[in-house]
Amino acid sequence: MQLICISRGSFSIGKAFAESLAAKLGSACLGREDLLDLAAASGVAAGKLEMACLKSRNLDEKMLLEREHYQAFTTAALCERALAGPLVYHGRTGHLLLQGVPHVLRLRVVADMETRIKSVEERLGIDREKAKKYIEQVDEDRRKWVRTFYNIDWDASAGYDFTINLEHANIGNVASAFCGVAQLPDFQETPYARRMLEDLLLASRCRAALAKDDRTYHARIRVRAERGTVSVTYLPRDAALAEIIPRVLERVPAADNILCTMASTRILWIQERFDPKISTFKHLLEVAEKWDAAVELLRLVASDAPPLIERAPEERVISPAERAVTGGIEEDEQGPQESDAWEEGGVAETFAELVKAGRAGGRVTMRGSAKDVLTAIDRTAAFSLVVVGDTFLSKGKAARVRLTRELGDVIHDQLRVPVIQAEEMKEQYLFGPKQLVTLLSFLGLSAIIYFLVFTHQQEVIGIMRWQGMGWRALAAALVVVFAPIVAYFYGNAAGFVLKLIKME
Amino acid sequence: MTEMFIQLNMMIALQVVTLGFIGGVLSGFIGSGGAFFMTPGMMNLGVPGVVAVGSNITHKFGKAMMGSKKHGEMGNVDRKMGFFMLLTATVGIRVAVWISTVLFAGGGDSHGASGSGAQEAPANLYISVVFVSVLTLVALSMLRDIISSAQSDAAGPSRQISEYLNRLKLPPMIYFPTADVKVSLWVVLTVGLATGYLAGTIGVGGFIGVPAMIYVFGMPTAVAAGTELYLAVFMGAFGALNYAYEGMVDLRLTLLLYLGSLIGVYVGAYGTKVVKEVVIRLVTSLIILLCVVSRAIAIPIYLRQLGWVNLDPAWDAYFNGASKALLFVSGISGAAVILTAVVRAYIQRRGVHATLAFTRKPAAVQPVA
Repeated sequence: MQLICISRGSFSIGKAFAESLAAKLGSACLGREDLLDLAAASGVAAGKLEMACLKSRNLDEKMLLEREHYQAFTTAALCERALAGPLVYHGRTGHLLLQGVPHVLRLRVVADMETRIKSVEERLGIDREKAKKYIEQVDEDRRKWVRTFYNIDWDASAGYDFTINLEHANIGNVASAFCGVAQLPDFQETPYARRMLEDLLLASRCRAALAKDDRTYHARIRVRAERGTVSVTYLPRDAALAEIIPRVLERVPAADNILCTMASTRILWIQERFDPKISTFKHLLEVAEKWDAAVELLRLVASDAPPLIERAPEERVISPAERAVTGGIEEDEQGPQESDAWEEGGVAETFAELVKAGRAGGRVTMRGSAKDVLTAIDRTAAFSLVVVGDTFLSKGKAARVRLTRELGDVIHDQLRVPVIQAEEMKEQYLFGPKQLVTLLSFLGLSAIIYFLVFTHQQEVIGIMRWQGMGWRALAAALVVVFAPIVAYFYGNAAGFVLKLIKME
Repeated sequence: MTEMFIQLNMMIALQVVTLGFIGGVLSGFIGSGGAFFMTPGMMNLGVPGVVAVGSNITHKFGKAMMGSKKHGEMGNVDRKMGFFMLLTATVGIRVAVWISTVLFAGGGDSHGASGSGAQEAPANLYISVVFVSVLTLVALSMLRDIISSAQSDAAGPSRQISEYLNRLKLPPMIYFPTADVKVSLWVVLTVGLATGYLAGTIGVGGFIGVPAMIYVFGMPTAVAAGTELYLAVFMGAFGALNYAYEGMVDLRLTLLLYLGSLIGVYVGAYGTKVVKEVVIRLVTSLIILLCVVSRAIAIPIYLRQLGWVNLDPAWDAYFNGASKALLFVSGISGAAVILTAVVRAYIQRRGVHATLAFTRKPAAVQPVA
């Protein structure tokens, strides 16, 4: 079953292409305008949100809430249609609403400027200069919208599977060509992909339900769902909603288990295999307690990793050659054991421990490479820290170290959050013997400096009274060097003390 | 020559540390440097205005160095923007130091000046007037924005000025990659000049720099805060150099401010997690207004010292006392509001199960943990 998202610029005949492709594939066709109508009918102030995004990337509290509601309603509508049958969606960035869904075919339709100018001149009856300015303004507005919503570049071609320029080709012919692309195994729905869609639908429906209810309307809430388990994270200032949230969500179908965690921030932990007995888990929990953070688990299985369990005797063994040709469709026929097993990887056990500790922030399992991870992470979520543990386990040690570091670098560059390797956590964020030695050294040095200054006040004042250009310059240099040194010693000592008493 | 460096006893030292702590709490809470509280606070303790500004700007330099590293690691610093703003910020600081120094040096010759404190009266008056004017504008605009956003659905503070400037598009327009904005060079240089001048005059630069970067340039808040902090390092260093060259930095006061502020800033930053944004803005604007009134109460003292008004010198103590009391009341109240919110959130958090788990039953959802 195909799921195609077409990103179209203004006046790029993208809509016509989408409709042609949908007709040839026998798919339903859905446009952005349809989603906007649905959102507006649900009470989302989509127009105001658009204006706010155009004016500034810094949305205030009210608009941030509107954005969450908008995303919830539109994602739910899109997922419902995608699960109902093959779908072609055309809009701005529908594929970004479906983050983590692996079989989405992402197309970008562009047209040359002259074609677009002519189109605007005809439609709006304005001259060429005005038409050009109009198109540039609309494009700029769309860029701002996407940047504000998703923190990415709308027209970066790396975000799409194919970019299509319809300048020299007939729409129908290109649509026919892409019918073949849409049939490729890479873009077919698998049970795993379907489950991702269902999880996304459940999460967005829950978020939409919370947006509709007067009691929870004003709360900034994050919802993740996996196989009927809904993880809700809310802020400490909304502590009164702890009992209300589940009552609101009981009306949502398929929300079997609801976990409500109060947390001020989130930490993302990425591993290939989780284990609540390892030291990383203990350290992470300690940091989460101090920071009042919910921990989200992201299980990353490398795309070329072999199956992680033994096959049942009745299952057909698939040769590597077959797997290369079919791209994994045979996984469907292997039954639930393998997909369940490789998706587990200790996630359930670790998540249960997080629930016990009161730090559960959701979980997701995905298969892919370092850059695929970004499709599963909500770029607008406020993570305070990303911890990258053991990943790419099927590789050799050197490759594993390199790929893990690259993963961290990619996440840091794109999300602009601190990213550390699991083994660095203790040293950077926890208080141990090494930190104690450093604290005592800094405290000692600070005490010596303060003692010397305040027992020699006249001498210190005397420096400021030096006369002569050279002496005054020297005095100024001494001040500029001395002040930050004191700030460094004392500031670090204060920081370590606060880390020691778990307040940072 | 008037005594520029006050006699420090334990009582005054403790008050300076308290100023630093409250300033740090407010600074961590609001995101500014806290100078709007610390500078007038030191003046209330008898520190000449220029020495208060010089000591505070030196304190700001060290503190900004500590904070900007973290922002830099998170990619929140637009160094290109910082560079361009610094070009004129240094000019602004130099102009500010020159004016303050000239006023301070000329104070001994002030016509009709009388009584102790006469030399620093012109500089004190100048610093106080700039402080009152600029921060009144800041506080009133914040209050107006809070009221208007409560009354209407308008998204965020008024952007008339920024929209007007954006429409102007005065060339050359420069693209700043980290902030991802394109701004006219003249606007950047003007904001830099204003920031530097205010930092050099009253020690307050963040209240112009950060809102300007957010509302005039359109930068993301985190990048604006990070870039401002980065800028504060260099402005603080340059300001400290200039004031120290003029002999107007009291290192003792700087060190005492550190004792309080480097702890207070953590407490204040923690408070932002548990207080709503609109409350943060409301508390900020009210504290600033009270600081402004506190400083305005002290102005008659300087007018009398200059001989511009005819007042009984005995009243100086009352004016100063009232100014000091109001300042400490505003600062302590603000810090108390923040600390109360922090403690209340902490207690509330402990009273609530951090993760509540519910499993659907046929009729209703029942709690299991």
